Amino acid sequence: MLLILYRTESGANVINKTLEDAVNIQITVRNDFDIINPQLKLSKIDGVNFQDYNYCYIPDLNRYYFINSVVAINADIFNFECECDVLETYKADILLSNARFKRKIKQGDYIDPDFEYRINADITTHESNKGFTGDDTMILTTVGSGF
Amino acid sequence: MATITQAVIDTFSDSSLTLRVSYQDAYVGQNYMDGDTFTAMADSGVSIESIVTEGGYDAVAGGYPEYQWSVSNDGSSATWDYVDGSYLSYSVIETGVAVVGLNITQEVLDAYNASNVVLDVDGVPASLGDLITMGSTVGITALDGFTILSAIIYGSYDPGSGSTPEWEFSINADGDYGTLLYDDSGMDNGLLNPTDITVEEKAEIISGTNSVYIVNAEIIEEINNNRFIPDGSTTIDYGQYILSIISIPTQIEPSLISATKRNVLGLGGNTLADVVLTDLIPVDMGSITIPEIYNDSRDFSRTECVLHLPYSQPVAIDSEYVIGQTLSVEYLIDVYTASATINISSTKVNEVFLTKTTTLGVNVPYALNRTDSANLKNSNIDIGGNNKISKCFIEIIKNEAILSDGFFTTSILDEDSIINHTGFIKVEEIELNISANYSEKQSVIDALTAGVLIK
Repeated sequence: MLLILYRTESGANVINKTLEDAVNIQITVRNDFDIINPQLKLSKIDGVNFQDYNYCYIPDLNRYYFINSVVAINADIFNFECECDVLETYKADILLSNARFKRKIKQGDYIDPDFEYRINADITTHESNKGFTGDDTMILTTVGSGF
Repeated sequence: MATITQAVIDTFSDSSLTLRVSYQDAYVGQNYMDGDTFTAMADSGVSIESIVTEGGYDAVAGGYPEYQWSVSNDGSSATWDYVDGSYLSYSVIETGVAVVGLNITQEVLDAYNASNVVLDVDGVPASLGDLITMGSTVGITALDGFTILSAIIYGSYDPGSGSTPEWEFSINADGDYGTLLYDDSGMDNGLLNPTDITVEEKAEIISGTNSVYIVNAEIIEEINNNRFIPDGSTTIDYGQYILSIISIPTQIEPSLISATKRNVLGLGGNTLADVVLTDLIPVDMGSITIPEIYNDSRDFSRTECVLHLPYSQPVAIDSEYVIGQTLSVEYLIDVYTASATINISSTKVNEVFLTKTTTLGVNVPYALNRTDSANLKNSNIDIGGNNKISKCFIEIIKNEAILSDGFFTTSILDEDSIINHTGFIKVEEIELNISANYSEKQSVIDALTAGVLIK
């Protein structure tokens, strides 16, 4: 069975994690293998430092795993404690799911947002392109137009 | 060389035409030659439609050519230059009944328009090519904004009487329409060349018969010097006809001022003043466009809009009418009271959505007669007051949202397929269709509820 070790800096709550430095290793699993929280015992491989890896994928199980810890049992055998990353494993179905959720505001959102506001206000001004012009005008009105 | 015969003359006279050769009446025995101009003059009531004269035998072409006379536009005459060998007595003449009238040309229409009136015949607006027929009524309608004072047309100078005949249009009481009956008394030239139509701009939107003038201190002083007019044993104070003198803080649009000045109250001296054509002076205070910044609810949230207006208290306006819109402001100034109606419109509704009033000007005290009390009605200055603002401006007072654009700020509730979004979201409800066991499904829901970052 193929095991692919990865390094990732992506957080546990990220969907579409960035996986790097893949190392393919052939493994054999025991009958009591826990596919959700598996423990894997791997023999040392020259040129590969197991402590550098924090993520893995087992194609036959179609699952991604966090590597929670790597413990050296002896000089040649290392124990990997793994935990299924359900977000990455089921991301295709998750992304296609309809959901009600809260997200960041974006252009075109004209609903009452739930923000915290600064207590001091900013003031901007916009001036008209026309106004009163010239000197004052004195106007006299009289009765009658036939004078 | 050919000679006029009786047959030739009869050919034309039988069709009520008079034949002329080289612009003189033709007579029997008159000689004429190639190139001489023949003119056929139609008798009264007759209109020439066509004249065709047969030419001499053309040996080359083999036949008799036909020569078409040139007929005048009104059918009153036709001309042709004689071609040697032609047979004038073999002329085919077509005539009809003449329409007697004056032809209206573009020059005629322009002449009336230049006098600020529009010409009509029997009530029908005149057009190019129309005729003013004998017995019809010629009308003139004043253009908008004008009043006809008089309209006189002139005939030709008569050496016998030593005078020039004239005819005067009858003008209606409103001064907007005049009529004149067209007859054969010799008014043709006058009708086609109107030179004495007098109109004046009218102040039709001024209440009643009041007058509004633009004055200055010198004119007021002249009014005061000339206002008392002796009338027999008494003296009339023309100052009693003054309704108000106000000062407004702007100039008046030239289009609202008559081209003709008038003496205030008809007084003498230097009281000639510009006449304002309205007693409700509109002043366009322009427009203000306020752009959106975010194009979302942040543009409106915690936002106050205060419009500052000249000579008025500020007015708070709902941001709906302001943000992303254009505001327009117009003042309508009442010249009697100096009060102004302020109309504020917005592109949000494309019409006036707010109206308020203020007092704009200052009542100027003027000289009084002996029995009046002091006319110092300046109390209104306190209502509006000069706030030193000459242009409107709007204040946008805004409390900025903190972290409104923050990476983990989830302020907007949405319902959609998650794949359409990126960034940090917190799921409240989800229709999750995955082939996972229960604990995995629960783990997915827990993770989504806690918040996930979709990249």
